[in-house]
Amino acid sequence: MSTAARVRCAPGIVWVKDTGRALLVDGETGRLWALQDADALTWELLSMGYKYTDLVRMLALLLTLSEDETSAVLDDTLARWQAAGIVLAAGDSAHG
Amino acid sequence: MRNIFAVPIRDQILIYAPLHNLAALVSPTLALRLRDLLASGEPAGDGPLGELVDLLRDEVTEPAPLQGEFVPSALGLLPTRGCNLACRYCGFIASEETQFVMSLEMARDAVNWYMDQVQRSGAPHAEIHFFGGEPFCVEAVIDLAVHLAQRRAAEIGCTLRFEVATNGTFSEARCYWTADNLDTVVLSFDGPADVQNLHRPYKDGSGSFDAIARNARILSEGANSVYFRACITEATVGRMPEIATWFCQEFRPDAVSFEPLQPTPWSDNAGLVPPDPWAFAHNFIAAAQILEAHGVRPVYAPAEIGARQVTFCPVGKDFVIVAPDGVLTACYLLRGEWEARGLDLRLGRMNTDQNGAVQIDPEAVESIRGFNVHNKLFCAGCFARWHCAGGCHVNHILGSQPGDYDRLCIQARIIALYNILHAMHHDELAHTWLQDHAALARSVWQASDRLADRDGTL
Ligand code: SF4
Ligand code: SF4
Repeated sequence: MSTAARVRCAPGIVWVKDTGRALLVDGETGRLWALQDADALTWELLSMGYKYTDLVRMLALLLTLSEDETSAVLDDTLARWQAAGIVLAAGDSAHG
Repeated sequence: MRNIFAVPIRDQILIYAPLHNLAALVSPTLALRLRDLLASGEPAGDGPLGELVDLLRDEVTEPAPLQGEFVPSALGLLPTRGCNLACRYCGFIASEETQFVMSLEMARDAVNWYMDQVQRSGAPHAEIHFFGGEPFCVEAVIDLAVHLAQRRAAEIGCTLRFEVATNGTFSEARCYWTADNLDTVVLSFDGPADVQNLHRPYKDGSGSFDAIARNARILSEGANSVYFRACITEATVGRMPEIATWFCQEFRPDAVSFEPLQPTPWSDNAGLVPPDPWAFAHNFIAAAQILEAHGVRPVYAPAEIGARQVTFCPVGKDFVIVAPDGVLTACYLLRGEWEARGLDLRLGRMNTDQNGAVQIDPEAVESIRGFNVHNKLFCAGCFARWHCAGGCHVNHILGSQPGDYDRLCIQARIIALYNILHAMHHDELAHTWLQDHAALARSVWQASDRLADRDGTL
C-alpha cells in the first residue's frame, strides 16, 4: 500500500473554497497555497476524511481517469503536500 | 367565471380571483349583483362595481399541465432509503427498499445525463436535490454529485443550485461543508429537546436533539437558505406558537414549515395522532404571526397563495428522481407506498449494464403529467385549487362528493383564507373571523366556492 494511505490534512492549516480554488493558510507561519482544479478537489475530499482507496475511486470518476492513473497522480500530489507540510502522515501528532 | 370565487367571511363576501390577482371584500348583495353582471355581460357602469366587473371580465389563462418534449426540470438523487434515525412516525425503517445504496457510478451517470439534458435544452439553470432516507448516510454520492455537477455547469455555462432534505444529524465538519456548498437545506426539526427526542430518536433510542441543534446553529450562520420542517401531532399542536418562538430565539431559519403528522401504522404504534385540523389552523396562524415578527417565513405548503400550479409537488413537473436501485420516479416516497395506492409513478430507469443509459418512458411521462388538478374534479370548485392543487397525489385521498372536505382541506382552506385576508391587510377582520367558530365553519363548508354557483342565500 502507498505511503499516502496514511495521510491527513495538517491541523494547523485553515482553508476556504473560492470559485473552484482552495486557498490554504498555515496558521503558524502564515504561508499561503492556492490549489487549483484537481488539486483543489483532492484537498476538499481529503479534508472530508476520505480514505485513500475511496479517494482514488472518487477522483477517478470525477477526472475520468483509470484508478491506476489516479493512484499515480494522487501519490505524487500527496508526496508534494507532505513535503510542504500541508498534509501529515496519519500517525504524526500535530506540529506545535 | 369559473375562476372567480366567493367565500363568506362573517357578514361580508370575499371575492377571490387568483388568476386575475384580485381579492375584494364586498357585501352579500353586491356579490350577487356582481355574479349577475358577469353572467349577463350587461354593462356595469362607472364606479367601484363597474371597475371590479371590468377587471373580472379580463380573459385569464389557467395554469396548464406540461406538454410536448420531456425536459427534466430538476434532478433528485436518493443516495439511500436507509437512515441513522428511527423516527417514530416513519415507515422507511421497515421497508425493504432501505437495503439499496446508490453506487457512485450511478450517481455519475445520472448527473451526466441530467447536465447533458440541460445543455441540449439550452436551459440557463440546473437544479439538483438530495432526498433519502437520510442522504448524508451515503456522503460519497453527495460529494461526487456536487463536484461533478459543478464541473459540468462550469463547462456548460449554466447556474446550478443544490437542495438537501436532511435530518441534520451529520458531523460538524459535514455541516460546515453543507453550509458552504448547498444552497438550501431543509432540516426536519420538530422542536425543543423533549419533542425532537420523542419523535426523532437514533436507532439506539437516544435523542437526536443535541446534534441537530448544534448543526441548526451552524447553518443559521451560513449564507445558504435554511428551512425547518416540523411535524405536528395532536400532542404538540397547542405548542406551535411556543415552538415558533423557540426556533426564532435559538436559530435563524429563513422559513419554518409546519406539517401535520401523516398517520402511518408506525405512528399509530407509537401513539402519535394527527392534530385536529381546526386546532392546527388556529395554531399555525398564531405561530405564523410570531415567525413573521422575527422575519421568518411561515409555510403551510397547500395554503401558499403565491403559487399558481396544477400539481402540488414534483409529480407532473418533469422532475426526475433517481432511486438507489436505478428506477426513475416522479415522487420521492417509497415505491411500496404509491404502489399500495394502485399508482405507478415510475418515469423510466437507468441501465447500469448499458453504460448508465437513461431510459425515459414517454408513455409514463404522459401518464404522470396527468396527475394534476385539472383531473381532480373534487377540487374544481375550491378557491384554493391553484395553490393546493389537491395536495399529495399519494397520501391525500380526495372526497367523493363536492365539499366532503377532510383534515387537509379544512386546514388548507382556513390558512389560505387567512393568508388572503392578511395580504389584504384585513388582520382585524381575520382575527374576529378566527374567533367566530360558526363563521369559520360557514367559510370552510361550502361545497363550491365559485361565484357562479352562489344562490340567493349568499
Ligand atoms: S378541495 Fe381540498 S385538496 Fe382540493 S384544492 Fe381545495 S383544499 Fe386542496
Ligand atoms: S405525490 Fe406526495 S409524496 Fe410524492 S412527491 Fe408528491 S407530495 Fe411528495
